[in-house]
Amino acid sequence: MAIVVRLDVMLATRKMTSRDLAAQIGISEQNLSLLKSGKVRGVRFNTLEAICVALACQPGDLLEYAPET
Amino acid sequence: MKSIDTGAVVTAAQRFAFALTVALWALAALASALLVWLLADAGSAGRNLADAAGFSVEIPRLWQSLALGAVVLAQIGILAGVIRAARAMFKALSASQPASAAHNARIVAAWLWALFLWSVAAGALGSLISTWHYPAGERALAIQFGSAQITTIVAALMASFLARAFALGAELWQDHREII
Repeated sequence: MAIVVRLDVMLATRKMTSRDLAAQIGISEQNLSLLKSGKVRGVRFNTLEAICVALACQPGDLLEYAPET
Repeated sequence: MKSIDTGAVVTAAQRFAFALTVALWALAALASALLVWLLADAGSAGRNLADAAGFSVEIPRLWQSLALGAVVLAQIGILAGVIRAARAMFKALSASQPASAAHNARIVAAWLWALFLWSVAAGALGSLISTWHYPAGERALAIQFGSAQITTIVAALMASFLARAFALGAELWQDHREII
């Protein structure tokens, strides 16, 4: 997948655990873990918005486009 | 954005699965009662089964009673197959497993087609068995195709379509789960 999820980096930067973030944004830890590992087909805008609010960041801080060579 | 709530479907599926479990037990009781009747009074059982097939047999031979009983038990068995598969389908839906539900819906359709074919064959067999000892020229081989058969065909077609719909639903459901 060419879209890389940098959520783990942001969590470390903001010193927040996955459990706390999952509880704050209202999704399960399992789903958040799938999102962190990039094993999802997509992210809803409302989920992305909730993560950005919780981590005080921009969507670009969470997602990176790295084309496969 | 409101997330999709599958609670209503799951609850309804649980209720249908329970109702079909009760139906299965009722069928088992019916089959048991028929077996007991055949063993206890084969003549009476055979006479009544022949009457139900539309033919009068005052004193049926033992083999006729048992054969007619076997035809009816086979019909009950196939109906039980339909109900078991339908129950498995609803159990899969109640467990949020649409792929498994699609698979079981295909099995329901297959059993319904079997039920249709056997209902036609059972009518023919019932007439043949009942009139086997009739005088020459009075024996009958009846091929029936009435509202019961048409209803079964419609049900089989609907089950076949449902299987395709469930398969599509399973893909959509999986897609939905993979979007966080």
